[in-house]
Amino acid sequence: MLDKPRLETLLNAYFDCALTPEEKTELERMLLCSARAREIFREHAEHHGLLREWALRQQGSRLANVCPLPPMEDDPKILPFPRRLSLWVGIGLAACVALALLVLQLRPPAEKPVFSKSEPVADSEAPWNKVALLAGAVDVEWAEDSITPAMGEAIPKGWLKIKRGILRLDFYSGVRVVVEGPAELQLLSEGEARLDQGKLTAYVRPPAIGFTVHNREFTVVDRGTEFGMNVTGPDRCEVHVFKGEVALQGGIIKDGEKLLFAGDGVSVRDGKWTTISPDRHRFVDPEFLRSMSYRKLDAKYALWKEKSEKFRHTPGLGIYFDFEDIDFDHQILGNRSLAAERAGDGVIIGCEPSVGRWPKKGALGFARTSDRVRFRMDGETSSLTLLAWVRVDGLPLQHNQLFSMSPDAAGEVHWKLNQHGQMQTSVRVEGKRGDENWDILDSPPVITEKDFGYWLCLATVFDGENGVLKHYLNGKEVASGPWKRIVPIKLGVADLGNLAMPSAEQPKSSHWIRNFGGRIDEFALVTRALSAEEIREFAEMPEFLHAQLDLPVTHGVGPAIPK
Amino acid sequence: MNSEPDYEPDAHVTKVQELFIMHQPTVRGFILSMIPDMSLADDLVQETFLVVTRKAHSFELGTSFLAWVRTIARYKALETLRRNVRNSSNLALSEEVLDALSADNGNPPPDTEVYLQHLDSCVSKLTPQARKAIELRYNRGHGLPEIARLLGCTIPSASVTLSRARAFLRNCVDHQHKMSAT
Repeated sequence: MLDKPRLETLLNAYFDCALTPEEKTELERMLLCSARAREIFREHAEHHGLLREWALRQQGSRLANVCPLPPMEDDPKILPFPRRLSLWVGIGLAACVALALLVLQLRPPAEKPVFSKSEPVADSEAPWNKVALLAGAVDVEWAEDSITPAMGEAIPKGWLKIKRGILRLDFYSGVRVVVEGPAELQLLSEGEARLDQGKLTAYVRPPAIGFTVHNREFTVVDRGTEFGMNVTGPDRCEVHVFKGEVALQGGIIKDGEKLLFAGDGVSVRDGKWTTISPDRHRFVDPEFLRSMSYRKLDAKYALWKEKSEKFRHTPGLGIYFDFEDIDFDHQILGNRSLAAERAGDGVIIGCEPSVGRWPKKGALGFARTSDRVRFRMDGETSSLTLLAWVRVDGLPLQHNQLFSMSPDAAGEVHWKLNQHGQMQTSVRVEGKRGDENWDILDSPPVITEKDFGYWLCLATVFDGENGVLKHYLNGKEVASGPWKRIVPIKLGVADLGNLAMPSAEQPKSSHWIRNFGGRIDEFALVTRALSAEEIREFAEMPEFLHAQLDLPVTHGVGPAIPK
Repeated sequence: MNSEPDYEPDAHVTKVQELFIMHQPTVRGFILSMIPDMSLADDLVQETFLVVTRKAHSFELGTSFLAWVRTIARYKALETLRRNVRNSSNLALSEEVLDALSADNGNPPPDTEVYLQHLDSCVSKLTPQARKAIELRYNRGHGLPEIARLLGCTIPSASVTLSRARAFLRNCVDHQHKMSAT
């Protein structure tokens, strides 16, 4: 008896030029033994040919409209019009048969199209392979073979697998999808996914109509709606339509498509489907997800407040800007240090009020060349530690200054990021000008474009007692080098987020434009060398261990993710 | 006694060519059934057209054009398969099987224009991923590895997507055909 599904599989492989020798033998045996198999073969061949014909006419109609064939998205092969195509467009204009003949005679047969040799390798990191954003997550445990995006991070095509928890994905097409674990969801494109396990709720806005979710049983195509899917096994799937309209296609839907409207539902079990009433309560309420996320964020913020209170007592803490309760009326950024070495408050010049690591956390945004926080300390110190939580939004300048102090004096300090993402610090060892008068420590490039928009903890230690300079990123040492010509560090006029210059000095070239681009929501200056452990404690907050799993994106604010 | 033909010789060639164009989708399907590689098949359609033009005078109007052109196409396809036997050994069916396929009369070819109209409508109903797979296969002529790479999925997954898309289109076209017939 003819195994039709097997025949169909073999025929598909044959027409896609993907038959193995064994499969070819199997197909040949079937075709020789069964007239019905040959009939099915001819149907497939006819369809295959007509699809090619349809495709050629599509290209022909584009040509006829003097519209170049657009390169397909993600298709690196730029096909110049093959002569074959121009030929058949001519032929397609059937009235010009004689002309077609002329063209034909001029054309050498069997010419292959020339493909570009410079084919970029598919790269999940490439921006064009990213299809969605991880916009929220609660109590998520990732499977080992899953993509594990950080909060707010763009997600490439591929499988998201969670053992438990809830994810919110914002597809680039405009669809918001909530996934409840355990779940396995494959992101196929910005408008298409595949759900093999778990619950999914899709909120499809008008620009994203056509959003599609595949399953073994059928494909759900949105027509502008809100719907839920629940896949509990290989042969078990439900679709609940809460608003609007969806179309079911493929799989067990034999005739074209089946339309479902608000109030409709379908349950498929073991290849048979029945109608059901949609049950909104079986799917997570987005407001619940939102409030749960915010409750967790508020809890984390409260924990940080507690920690911040303790940090104010840190010995040697000269400046501690926590960016809370900023006095914008008087442009004052309060110095919260309670240590004996406490200096004065900061004065805000420019700088937009911003949101910090959590929705209720204050921050300042630095964007303009004039933006800075100016403060002053007096005296000298043999060692110094600078710490900051920053959100780097870009590194457009050669020098993107985080901090500078005591311009032109011996002991002047610069702290900055260069355009290559290196942390840089320098101490002026002579009052004279010239590069040779600085001791410098550059880290390897540690901040890349992937880090833009995320909160990072930066720290640098000037250890005068041991003659060492060190850089830390998120609590981990990333560079260390000798401080050979140790001089007392001069405390004085300082700028946070910009370059402090002598009042008599005016920028004469773009070289002196060194403002930082991003946000800062915590800064500390300590007049001693903090230990690696102290820096780790400042950067690595235990409650943040799961931060990347459960912080929603708020106003474009990224998470605090210890790296 | 010589009798003048009732049309000019060039006009006969033109008529044969018009028949070829009319039946071109069927010819293409026939060639693709022997040589599924789209690029090779396209070349063969053109070569067949050249032979048809060259031998147009041997075709008697009023007889079965399809039977005549299939003979030519089959000959050209077998010639190509024999020439490319090393490259195509995994793709091509044996001549015994091809003979068996040719021996059956099969169903008459569908009304191409109607079919293509339905196809056009049905393709628009495909999911974006399925539509892309179809376009990569049939517009671009890509093989499965390239399609998988461009879709960002595995080769088996691309194969399933493509197979399902074709099945959907076949069902959809049949459905539309039935609907338009009622």
